[in-house]
Amino acid sequence: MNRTPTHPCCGVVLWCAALLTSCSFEPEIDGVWRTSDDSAVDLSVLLGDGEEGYVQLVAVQYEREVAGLVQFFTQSFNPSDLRTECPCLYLDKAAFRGDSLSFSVTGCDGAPRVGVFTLDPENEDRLRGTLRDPSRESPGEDWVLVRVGDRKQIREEGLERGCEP
Amino acid sequence: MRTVTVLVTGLVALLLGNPGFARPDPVLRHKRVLVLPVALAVHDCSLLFTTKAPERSTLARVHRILEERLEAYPTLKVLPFRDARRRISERKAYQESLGTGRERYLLAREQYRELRHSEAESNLLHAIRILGSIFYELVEPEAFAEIYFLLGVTQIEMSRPEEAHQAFKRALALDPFLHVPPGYYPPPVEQALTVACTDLRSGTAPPTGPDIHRGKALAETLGLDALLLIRSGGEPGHPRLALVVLDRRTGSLSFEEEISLTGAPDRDDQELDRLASRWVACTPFHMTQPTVETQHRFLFSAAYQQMAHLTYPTRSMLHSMGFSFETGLYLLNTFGLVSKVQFSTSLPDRFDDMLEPLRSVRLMAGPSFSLAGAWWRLYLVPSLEVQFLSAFRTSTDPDCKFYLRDSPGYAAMCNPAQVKHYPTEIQGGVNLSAGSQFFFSNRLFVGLSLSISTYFLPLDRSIEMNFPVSLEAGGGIAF
Repeated sequence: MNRTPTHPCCGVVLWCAALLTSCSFEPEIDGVWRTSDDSAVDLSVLLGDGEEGYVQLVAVQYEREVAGLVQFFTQSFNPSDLRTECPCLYLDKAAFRGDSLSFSVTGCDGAPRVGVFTLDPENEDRLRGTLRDPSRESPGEDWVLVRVGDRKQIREEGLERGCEP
Repeated sequence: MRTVTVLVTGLVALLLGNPGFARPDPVLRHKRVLVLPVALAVHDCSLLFTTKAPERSTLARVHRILEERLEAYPTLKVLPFRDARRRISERKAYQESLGTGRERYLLAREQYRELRHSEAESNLLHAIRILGSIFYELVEPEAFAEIYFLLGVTQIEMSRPEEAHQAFKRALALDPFLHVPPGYYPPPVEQALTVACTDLRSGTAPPTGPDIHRGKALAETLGLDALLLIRSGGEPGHPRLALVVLDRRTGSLSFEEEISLTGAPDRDDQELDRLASRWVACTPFHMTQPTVETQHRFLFSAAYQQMAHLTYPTRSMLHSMGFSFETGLYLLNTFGLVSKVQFSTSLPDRFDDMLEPLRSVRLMAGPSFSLAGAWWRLYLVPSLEVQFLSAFRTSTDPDCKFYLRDSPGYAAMCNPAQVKHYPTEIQGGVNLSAGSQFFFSNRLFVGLSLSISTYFLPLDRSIEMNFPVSLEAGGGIAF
């Protein structure tokens, strides 16, 4: 294959331009994600049989690493409806690879739970996946989370403070 | 947005409307000239045959006065003749040809003594051709005259008096004080030499006339615009001088004027003054756009800068942005002193490992070496640098990045061992900057530069951050 010869200076200029241009990546799962606010989801995998509620996932992506938390609400996503018992769990060992978010949380009972969620290829504001108890053989809870806010909302709602006691 | 539009429009109108920002008027380009020494002194032919060398009361004073008068014109740059001679003789070609030419001459002298006149003539002509090509007559005119003289003597021996006449005249023109012991050469030689001397004295025209091609070659060799030749002639006691000027660009004799000398220094000086003045008045000068350094002495500029560290304390390259302010004082055409202050703050890195922006202030000072044209300047500045760095922290743990430092989330999830603390630091090093400035008006310019620094102080380096490469774009004013 014939290549067009280029002047060595072109290489230097391109190198300098690339060097000095700060190229940042576009985070894919940054934001506030919520289950449908029309109906509560089954939370038995976390809180015991028969428990239902609304789930909010807060995730911030640093390349492949992810930090964040999961909050549980009773009637709506109003802060006043935050569960009094086991309202919030920190994401532990969270990572985003390909289009899949995997994380673990330590349940309020002290046992770990594992979540694996995948971005909907047709709608990047939709996450679908399950949260399950690795000690059980049950398939876990199948949740659909929809992005309702971005990093700005995380800041505005004070979610960077973590799980308030 | 409206305010910005108004400000930009106003600035552009100010730049275009203010006559002070207009491009500078072209100025006369200096003419570089060389005054050749007096081509022919008035030879007293009665002193041709003497054992005692005649006193060399040359017209060197005329040459010196003319050089001084011309030097006084701001549009002329006079190359002193001694400098021209040194530049000619220091050329490599001169050294090489000098040896060959002198060898030919010495060989010819032996051949002449052995009465091998034809071979001697051939070698003498060869020597003249070689030495003439290196302007030997300007460096050692008396030695060159000897060669012409021997050529004339040889040609007399070969019964070719017409050619000998020309050779003698050339010898006498090169060395106006040439003399030979009486009776040393046969009478035909003495007779031919006398005739040549008398012929030479009778007019101001040099024996062979000014060789325009050689003059042009000399002007090109020395980078001159014009060669000024002074011819002398006339009778002893009433010398006449003619100034002939060879213009390199046109390759022609552009001026010729004659004056008479009275011997009274004041009056002669006035005549020389007038002679120089007439040529300067007649000669055309070309206009040129003044170069940047000749217009400006002081410089102030401001620039936006984008910087990247080639070694960095984060997992991905650390970029910064900021502004720099520079002052410059240009002492010579190509040399100045500059100092610069830069304020920068780091941008988020790819992994957000930098937990808070790194702020720095850099101070630089050093010499500036530059090349400049009418509207541009290229420069290189090696400088000493001091950098003040703010304290900062880095971490690779996402929990230490996400949660606020005083929050429950930070306390619960961020392991303090995962956070690296860097205290405030002062670093010392060197910087090398290369750049360009483009003047779009008399005083205003836009500029682009690239620089790199390295820090080696303090010697105990605890911070893995070095070699910042900066690209700066901005503008400034010079006056």
